[in-house]
Order: sequence, then structure tokens, then C-alpha cells
Amino acid sequence: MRGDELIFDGLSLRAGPGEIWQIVGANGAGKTSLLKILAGLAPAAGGRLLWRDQEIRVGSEALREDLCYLGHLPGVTGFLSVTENLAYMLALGAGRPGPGVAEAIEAVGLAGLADAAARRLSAGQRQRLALARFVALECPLWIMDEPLTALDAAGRALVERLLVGHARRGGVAVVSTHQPLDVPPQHLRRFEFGGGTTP
Amino acid sequence: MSAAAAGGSALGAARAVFARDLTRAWRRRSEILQPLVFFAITVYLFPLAIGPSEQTLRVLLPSICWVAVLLSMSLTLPEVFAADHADGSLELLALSPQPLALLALMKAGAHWLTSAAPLLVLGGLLCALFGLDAVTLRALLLGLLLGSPVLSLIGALASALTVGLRGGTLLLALITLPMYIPVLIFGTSAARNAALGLPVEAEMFLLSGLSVLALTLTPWATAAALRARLG
Repeated sequence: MRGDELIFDGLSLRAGPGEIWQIVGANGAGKTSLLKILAGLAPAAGGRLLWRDQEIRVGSEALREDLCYLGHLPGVTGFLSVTENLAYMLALGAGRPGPGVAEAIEAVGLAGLADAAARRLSAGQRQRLALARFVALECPLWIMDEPLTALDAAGRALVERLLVGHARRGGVAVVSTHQPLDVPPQHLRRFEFGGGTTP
Repeated sequence: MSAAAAGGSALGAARAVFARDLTRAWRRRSEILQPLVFFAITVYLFPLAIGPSEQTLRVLLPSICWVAVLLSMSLTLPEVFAADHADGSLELLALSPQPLALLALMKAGAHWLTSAAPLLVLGGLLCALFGLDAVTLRALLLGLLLGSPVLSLIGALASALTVGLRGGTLLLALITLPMYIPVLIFGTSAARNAALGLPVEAEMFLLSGLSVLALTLTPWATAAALRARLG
């Protein structure tokens, strides 16, 4: 629901280990609303949401412990440096620590900017910094809202590489994007608003 | 235990939130200075408006100080959550596996340390400059010290309630200022009593009580407000 208006209903999907769910739909179809509901940020007007066979409500701890979420905004703090930003994200984040902060920053291509103030970063570099969180923490569930926004070709390849790596480790990802995702078909599932699912 | 326990601890997250807001205050010092200048100007306006009677001024000074503290602190309240909402890091806070109430308490604590604490120092200096006697000054400062946590805690709650709203700053003041009235009443009455040589313990206990009440209730309310606003 958005205000009093019904955006979607009768929607059902089940994501399992090693699956990357791509959510496709026209602008305003409700992709962001769906992802916010899945992330436990927004309440659904009806229906049930289960994670590990446990019912999830807004702010459920069971979900927060397993979730890495990337929203419309990268969540990068302007007055902190790149390294400080990532350290802050990790202190708050869920999941087991994977590679260290420096390695994660290098992995997303910001190696030369580790000590730069984040407010000097471009939109694409901020997005990369937000992605560094997904490298540095090992979360079972990724939810990404338009992760390809503002990224160049190398950045898109980076997202795809991260997603494939995540799926190979048995993780689950739900990603909304208009652009085709170049990941092996055995991992990719598509959910189209108005169109249903295609394996 | 779950994976989160291995990743970050509640204490580590709390420390990170607190340190981040102190870092912001340090790196954007002008944001700290502006309310202080506002406070000093407000206090200095009253002698001009009241006239040169030192007697009247000395009687009114503690009350002027209290009102100026309330106004200056409400100026900085939007900063508690609005900036985080604008850059998206508020979602990180809300989705952190650590208890949101604890993190919200840290935000309020950092707000107190960066807005109320400097005001206490400046207020004490100004009142001493205006010739307030030591007993009244002590009651004023002790009252401010015990009462100001309430201002930050209720302020953080109101800031969470108005996060992402247009015209939030004014709305925030409209919500917080009426809720500050009990603190204002007991704080000024303590200073008045001290000026008359009466005991001030009752007011101090009441102010401490209000602080403890706010400390125990507002973090959860703030967390719930944040979840409601982000939904």
C-alpha cells in the first residue's frame, strides 16, 4: 500500500540458498516498497513474510542478524573518511567479518581514496563504498535496491561478481534493477511485477 | 549464538554511533558554535530590553538563562536524525542487529555532550559576568546539569518523530518546547529559591527524577518512532 492506494497484492516468492532474485518492474510498480517490506523496514498491509521459517515483522531481530541492505541512498557519511565510513558500517552491520576494511576498500576499487573525505566522492564512488560493506561482512541475505545506479561498466561488473560469489557461498540475494544482470543462469531468478516468475 | 554475535557487539555499535556524532561535532565546529552564539545573543538582549536596573536583571537572569538554553537546544535537535536520514545511514542504524533503543540513546547522549555541556559552561560564565551571586549560580548550574538530559532525550524522540518531514525544524520546536515545561518550572524555581536562601533539594530531586524517567522511557519510544518513520 502507498497511502490508500494498493500497489501490489497476491505476490508470492520463495528464495533459497544460492539464488539471486532480480526484481523487475516499471517505475512506480512497487519494487522499492517490496524490498523495504522484505528488509523489515516497512509493514505490509497483508500477507506473511518468513525468514528461516520464522515470521518477520517490522524490525524483527531474526532478520536483522542476517541481513545486509542497500537502499536508494548509499548511507555514506560525508564528514567521515572512506575508511571511517566502512568501519562505522561494520560496527553497525550484521554478519561475520570477512576480509578486513582495507581489503574491502581495495576490492571495490577505492584503494587510492581510503583516507579521502567521503563528501568528495562522486555518486558512483559512494555507491562503491556502500558495496564495500557487502565485501567486508558475510551476511546470508542481501537486499539491494537499484545497486547499479551511478555505477560505470566496471562497477556493474563488480556488483555482478559480488552477487555470483555470494550465491556460490550459498547466500540469498534480492536485487531490484532495470538492467540485465550478467550472472550464470543457474543462480538467477527473475520476478516481474505484473508478469510473475520466470526460472 | 547467531552470526551477529561474532560480527559486532552492542557495545561496539554504541561506541561507534557515539564517536561518529562527536566526530561530526568536531569536524563541523561551526554547527556547535552557532547555538552558543545564539544563546549569548539571547541572554544579552534581555538587559537591553529590561533597562539598566541591575536588581531586576539579577532576579530574572536564571530564568532568562533557562529559556535561552531551551531555545538553543531546540535549534540543534533536527541534526540528531535528519542528517542521517538524508544520507541513508539512518536505515543502517535501524537495520543493525544491535538494539535500536541503545543506539538512539547514544545519539541523544552525543547531542547532550555537544549542545548542553557547552551551554552550561557558557551560561555559567555569562551569569557570573552579570554578577549573579554564587549560591544562585550554583543552583542554576546544578539544575541545568540535572535537567538538560531530559531536553536531549525528549528532543531526540521528537527528532525521530519528525525525521523526513518538510518543515520539520519548526514542528520539532512546537513538539519539544511544551514538553520542556516541567523541567523549566523546576529549574527556575530552584534558582529562585536559592536566591531567597531557601533549600533547593526538592527541585533537584524532581529534576533528577525527570531525567531518570526520560532515560528509561525515551530510548524505546525513539526507536519505535524511527521504525515508524522509516516504514
